Amino acid sequence: MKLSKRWLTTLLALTPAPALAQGVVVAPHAVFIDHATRSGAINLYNPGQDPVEVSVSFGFGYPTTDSAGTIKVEVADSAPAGEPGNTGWLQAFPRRVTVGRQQRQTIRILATPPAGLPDGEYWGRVIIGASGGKVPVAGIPDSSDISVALTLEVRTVISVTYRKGVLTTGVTLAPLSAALETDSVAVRVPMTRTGNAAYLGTVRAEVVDSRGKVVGQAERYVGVYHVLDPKILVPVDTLPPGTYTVRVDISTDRTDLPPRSAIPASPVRDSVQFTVR
Amino acid sequence: MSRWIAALLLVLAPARAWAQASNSTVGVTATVIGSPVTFVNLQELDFATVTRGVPKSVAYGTASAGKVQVTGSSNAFAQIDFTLPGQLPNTQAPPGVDMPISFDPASAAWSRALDIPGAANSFDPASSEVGRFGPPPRPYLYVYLGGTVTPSPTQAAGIYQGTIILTITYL
Amino acid sequence: MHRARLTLLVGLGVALAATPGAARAQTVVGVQNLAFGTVIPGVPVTIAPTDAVRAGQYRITGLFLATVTVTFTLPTAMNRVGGGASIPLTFLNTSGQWDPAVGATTTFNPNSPYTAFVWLGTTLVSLGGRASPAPSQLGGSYTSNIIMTVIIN
Repeated sequence: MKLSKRWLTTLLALTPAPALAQGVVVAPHAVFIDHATRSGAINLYNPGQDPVEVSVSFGFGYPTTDSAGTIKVEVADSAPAGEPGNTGWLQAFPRRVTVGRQQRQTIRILATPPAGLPDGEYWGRVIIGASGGKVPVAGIPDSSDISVALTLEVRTVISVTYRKGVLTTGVTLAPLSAALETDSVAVRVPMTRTGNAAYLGTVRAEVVDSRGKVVGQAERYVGVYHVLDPKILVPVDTLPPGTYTVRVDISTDRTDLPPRSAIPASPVRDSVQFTVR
Repeated sequence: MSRWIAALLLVLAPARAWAQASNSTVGVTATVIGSPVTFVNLQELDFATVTRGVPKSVAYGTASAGKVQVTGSSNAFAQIDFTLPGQLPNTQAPPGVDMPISFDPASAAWSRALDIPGAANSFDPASSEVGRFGPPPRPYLYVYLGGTVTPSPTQAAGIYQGTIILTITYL
Repeated sequence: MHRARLTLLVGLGVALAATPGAARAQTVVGVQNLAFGTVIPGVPVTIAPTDAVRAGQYRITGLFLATVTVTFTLPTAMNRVGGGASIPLTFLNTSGQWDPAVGATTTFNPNSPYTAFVWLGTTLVSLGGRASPAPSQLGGSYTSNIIMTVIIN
């Protein structure tokens, strides 16, 4: 038996538009687990009209910069030797769950750190995958038509940090550099972390002309786990020839994180001059 | 008995003549979890029905392109990675019956704040890309994906199915 | 015996009637906050007045055969502790619940005055509502207050 093209088209049309307008809310985007409680939580919410299948797994990674100053996170299955990873002793409950339409679900993260874990901070990433309905293929008989059905799975990667004992952090700055790039001033901010915990903060940069007038400003959240040399782009209008100063202020302000998540440290400030010819 | 109760009610009636007011307060409380990451799959990459021997492309700016809206912290950055199939297996045929699918270096794009693919930043979906959420009040990042399927002149009939994984890493 | 009990009842009523309303120790006490709990930005939360754990609750005591009117001073938003943000609040037509000791439980619209007759005993007034955090809602604790005024007519 063959299905006519019209029938096949109808069947495809009746396919429950896989994952159309499906999604999930993941909150917060950074999880912090204290050694005293050894547990954390991630809240999920399905705002759509269809159930969403959610899976939770762990990986290891933290922000680094390439030679161009682009910040990226490479996520590996486990931490390389010498890195303070936590992925081996974190568990998610449940690891797989179907979140009904407009329903909430809490994922508990429980830590079972090894005995004698030294004081410090231990890093990892939570990978939350979500996909919607599958295209039903069973029962569709032979046909002369060729159809393509793609399913989209979206994964959200957020940080999970385990903290034990007294933690300190800070950054030291190598010399800044700045140059005009088309419609922005590109500022390189080479930072090296101090202490025993990641530096979660904000880099603010402003460009000032020779009369002290601010002609551009930008800010960016940063997480300095070891070293980070990001390129901060400060949008500016056309700059007349002259000498300009870039002022950089680095602080542990993080309005996007829960209060007290960023370990406080003294602000770091520096400046650099550049010339527009 | 009822006589006595009626009498009681009559006696009490004046009590309601004294108007007085009292008030009390309760609090309203909520704890907001720090900025979430939200994605909504707005549109599937849809090749629909294809013809043997005729490659079919979907551009990222069209109604058939894949489109995902990601919501995050205003002005924050996010890393965008795709895991893309190279072949789509025929789900109605024995293993090995596949159709090639490809993604050229300009088949993906991202746009901040507004869903305007025409003004989006194009990128190669085979590589990592860093996008940015929009400023308040639109902390959105839209990701688009097109692609090309190339059925052979003798491509077997059936449904060719695959999975595309979009990974959003909050930076 | 039967007559003696009735006499006692009438005596009690006379004593009550002879006591000015204000002296009868009518009390209105807020006993439970309207608690939205953990809220996810962009995800509205609605609490029904029947939610025994999260609905706001007031207790009215000391009334006896009285007509009362309750009115609410409802906030339009909760404010972030430390400033910088607020969450819009709305109260629906059925966000109020009147639960007297004698008589049926009814829902009402807390945006308007609500009048009811109280026979006796404790009346519990519950209040739900809806919080609508924005997608970019700033994290932290948010609070506000709801004042309920009871007028004994």
